[in-house]
Amino acid sequence: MNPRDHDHDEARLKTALAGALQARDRALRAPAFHRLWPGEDARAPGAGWLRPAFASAAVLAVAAALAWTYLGRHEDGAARAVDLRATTELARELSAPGYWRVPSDELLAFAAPPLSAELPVAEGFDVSLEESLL
Amino acid sequence: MPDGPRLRHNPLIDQRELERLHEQCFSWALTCAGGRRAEAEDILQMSYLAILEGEARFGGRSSLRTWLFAVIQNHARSRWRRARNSLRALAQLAVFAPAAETAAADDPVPGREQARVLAALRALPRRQGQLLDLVFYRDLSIAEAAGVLGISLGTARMHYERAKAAMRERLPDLGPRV
Repeated sequence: MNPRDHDHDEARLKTALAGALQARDRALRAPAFHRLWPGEDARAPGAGWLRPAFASAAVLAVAAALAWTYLGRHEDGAARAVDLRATTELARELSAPGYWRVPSDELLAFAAPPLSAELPVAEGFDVSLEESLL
Repeated sequence: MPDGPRLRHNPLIDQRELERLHEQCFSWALTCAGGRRAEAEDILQMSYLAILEGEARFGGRSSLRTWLFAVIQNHARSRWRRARNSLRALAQLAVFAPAAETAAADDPVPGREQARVLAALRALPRRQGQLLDLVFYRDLSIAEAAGVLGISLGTARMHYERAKAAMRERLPDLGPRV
């Protein structure tokens, strides 16, 4: 075989081999670099903010759920704010000599919002409503 | 070379450059793994780990690409040796009779002609097949390929000529026209 034939033969072999290996590489695509790279900083560029964002969102969601559960529950009580003006008027009427003239329905209408905390009960601490308002 | 983050234990390596060469590395790992995808992924991941931890250190004496090929080749070879020793141990216990090749390749090559060429390439002795891959497909010189495979230039030349002769025998239609 002369040198020209040799070169031609080698070129054909090279073309055939390269074509076959290219077809193989097309059929078996490489997995993403980040899937095989074991480094911590090898996450996809631009996706580095995802984990902190998810963590922040989760913390916010938990905080909102807790706030809604524990604070939202007392919303009705807070909404029923005590009308200070009516209470003062009632107290004045009850402290006057004609306190017995205060209509009972006004007294019944005055209902303080329920306490959420238990108050200590002192034994023998028995004070009438009138005394307590004075 | 792109100016990206450098590896702590391999300061001459730029991670973006590694990413750029990733597909070529996987392709070479596939060749070293005989076309078996899972094995190629495993070899490449072990190679990356060795690079990241500084077990394999790039000194800049060759191109990064040929150095990476050599690292992959070393991991493939040690893996292959471990597998061979395990098979021998099993054979000695008469539990299992090892086959020459343990598993078939995964590559569904579309063309019949290409499949035939690949089969002929795989039928070559491992080192010869790798030499042809490096020289014909990856355009490395025989000296560079010898460096990747860890053999002398003379041995590489001998394997190269033998590999070409064997391919011509297996694929006579690609051989010299008389």
